[in-house]
Amino acid sequence: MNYRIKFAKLEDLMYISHLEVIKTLRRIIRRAELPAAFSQGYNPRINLAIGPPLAVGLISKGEYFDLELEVDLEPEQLLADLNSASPKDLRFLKAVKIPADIRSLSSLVDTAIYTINFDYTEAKNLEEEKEMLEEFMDQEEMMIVRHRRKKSDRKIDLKERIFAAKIKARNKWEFAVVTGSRGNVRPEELNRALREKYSEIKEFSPLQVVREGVFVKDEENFKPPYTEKFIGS
Amino acid sequence: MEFKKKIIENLYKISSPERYTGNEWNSINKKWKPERLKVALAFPDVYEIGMSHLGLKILYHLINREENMLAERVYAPWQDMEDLMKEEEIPLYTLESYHEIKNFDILGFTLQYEMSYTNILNMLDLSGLDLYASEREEDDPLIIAGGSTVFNSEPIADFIDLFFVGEAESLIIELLNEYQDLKAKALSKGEILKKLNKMPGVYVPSLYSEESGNNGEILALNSAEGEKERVKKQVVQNLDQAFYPTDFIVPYRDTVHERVVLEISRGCTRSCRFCAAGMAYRPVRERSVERLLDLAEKALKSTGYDEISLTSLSTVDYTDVKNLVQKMTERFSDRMISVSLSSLRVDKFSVELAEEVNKVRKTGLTFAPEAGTQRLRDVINKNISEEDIYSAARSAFENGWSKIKLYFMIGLPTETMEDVRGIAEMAKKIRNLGQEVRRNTKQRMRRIEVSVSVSTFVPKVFTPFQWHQMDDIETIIKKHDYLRDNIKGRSFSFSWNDPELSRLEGVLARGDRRLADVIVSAWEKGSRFEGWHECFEPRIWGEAFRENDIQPEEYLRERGEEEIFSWEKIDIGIPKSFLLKEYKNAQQEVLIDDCRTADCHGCSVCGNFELDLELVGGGRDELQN
Repeated sequence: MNYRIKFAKLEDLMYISHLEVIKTLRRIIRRAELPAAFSQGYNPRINLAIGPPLAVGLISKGEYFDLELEVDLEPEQLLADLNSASPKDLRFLKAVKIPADIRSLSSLVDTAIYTINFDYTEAKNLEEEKEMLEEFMDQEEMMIVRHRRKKSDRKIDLKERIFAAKIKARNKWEFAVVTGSRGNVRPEELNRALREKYSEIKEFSPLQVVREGVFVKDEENFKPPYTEKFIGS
Repeated sequence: MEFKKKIIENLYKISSPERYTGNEWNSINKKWKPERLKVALAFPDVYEIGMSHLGLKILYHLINREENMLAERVYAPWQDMEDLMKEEEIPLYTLESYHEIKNFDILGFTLQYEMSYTNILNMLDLSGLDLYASEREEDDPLIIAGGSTVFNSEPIADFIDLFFVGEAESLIIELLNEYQDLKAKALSKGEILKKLNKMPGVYVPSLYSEESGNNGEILALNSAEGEKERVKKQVVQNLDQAFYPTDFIVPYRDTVHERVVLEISRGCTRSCRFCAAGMAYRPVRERSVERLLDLAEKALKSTGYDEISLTSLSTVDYTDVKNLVQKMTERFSDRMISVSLSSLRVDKFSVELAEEVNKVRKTGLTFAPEAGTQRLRDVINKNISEEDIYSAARSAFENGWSKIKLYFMIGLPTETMEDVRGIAEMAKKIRNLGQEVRRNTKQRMRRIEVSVSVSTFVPKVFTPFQWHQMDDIETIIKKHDYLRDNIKGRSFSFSWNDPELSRLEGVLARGDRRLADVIVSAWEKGSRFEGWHECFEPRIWGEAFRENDIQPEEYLRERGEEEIFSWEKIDIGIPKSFLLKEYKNAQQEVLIDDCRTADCHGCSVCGNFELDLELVGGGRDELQN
């Protein structure tokens, strides 16, 4: 049976990289003694396909992976088994049975939603923040320099990469941005673009950012990747 | 605790932040009750190296088993983290509870190699502690140390309050309990140390001193009145029943050994004359197959690893190794768990064993002939023949391995350029052999690759070669040049050690207490992580020696037969006369056999510790037949 599983990666694990998360998931599955299916070939591994990577230093409340088991286990049981073998800040939240041959997470997921808690050099009220965001989003373009490891810097436009933005509460902004195979925006880049426009916004540390999760853009909505529409065969 | 937020908030600025966060699966975060003795276990190198150290794993779990104690871990911060800690005023802290080191009762260092001594100083400093034991306060943590270079710990003796000499499982809990009792009696640190020095294996360096002559030679070793003259190494009796952990901490970060590590035996009696471990960890003691299977089962369940590594100083020498490997693969292969062997010998049997466990993935096989000619292999008592080597190599190629790695040393006693030439010739012959097998096989085989790794021999204490003079820089470079010129081409790769670094290791390995100030000077000038090639700066060390008026060459010279050694405050249970006899045997190319299957050669270890070889494949008499 195949499952799509949602998990949260919280503070204790915020500095764990994408590859380390995959390795950790495989070990959790072994510790939980779940009858996982293995890949074929010389070096058999637990069949596990994960969604788009989460940057080192960020916590997330909604990441996903697909897992194949040799047996048909009830999702509640699977979650309980996984959680019992997992560190407290890696929590499995939801499991949904899925057909074997559906679109992979990496091709399906295209949106990441971030909440950013801002600090200002001088306090802002909600109205002022709303105006700031509106003005920010109304720009023709939002060019920033992207620093790339072992490659030359590149100029990119954030405008086309931000799908939506809103103020959730005072000092709390939410951005829906592109992620996965169609591009990517780092929260640090959002911060830079904002600070270029508003110098009163302070530089933030990763502790002020939460990835609310990854989603699939469906018209103007963002839906979780276990939505019936995406997993129906 | 109060720095946890500050740490987490800032870690994104540095490389590999997950080195400094802890909270790994199976880590133990015990409550800080006042009655608990708090021990910080320190490894003076980065996280991913320290996390692979077996001795530290054993101690961590052993201490945490005790209700009245807790143990937490701390590793050396990399330079970027050190800078961050200084900038943000974060003291050195443990990965479990984020307590600063100063709040612990005991800070215990693992001594794994000489090149980590400046890291020890740096960790003391980042903890806000004085470097010299004599200058630390009454209520500072007690600084203890142990591990493989404890046998010559004299260069760092001024920094450490107490050394434990030998295998710590044997006595560490008793020692910690005794310390707690004495502390409860409100004795001073000096009084406590004096009382602890009465315990076997305990070496309080401040109770011992040495007198040096004008040329750096040791004139006398002195012990304070009423103290034992020499400190006898401690060993574990009945290894099979000794404590061994199965709930290993599972790091998130890639570390050196990401697998269940099973120590199948301890000690080696092959008697290679250069080998410090071979002398220091005698006698051979093996764990039973049943116990190892049980440990493997529990450790796999607890960790979720997919590999078991069977380790010891010489894995194939385990007297029931075929049975062990067979049972392990039988039991675990259907769970997709692989078994690996460390330290293979150079013979056909080893290759067959490797074939047994490694049926699928054939990445590379490593052999250590150590020397390039039979004559020199006889000098070091390596006990392998030319024929062993080539049949092992042929067998490896025929079984599908295409990459072979060869380890050699240069600078061994009696070595001439003829022996160095032998290294290049052996590499070529093995390459040719591989190419021949590849031409004639019907199976697909990758291109033959032979990599040759040459290290400079560093004479180590308590070995037959402890008297030997180390090669000078020019000689080392000449040998490297020869090998580089003669081991080249598409099928070869050649690697070597920095000669300056080997020389420094040589100085520290047979050093004395005068080196303490040199190590401090080098640390003050910014030297850290000397074991990491990119971090080592010979210039700094040169200045440190000059400032303290010490000639490093004094430590590298040939030692006299009658000479007193700084490290002889310690007794490893092997008389000096045996080592000297072996040094002479070396010069005359006289071989001695492994005493598990041959007669006793009189190293005296068994008698001195009132124990015998613990062999699972039968006693010495049975094995000889």
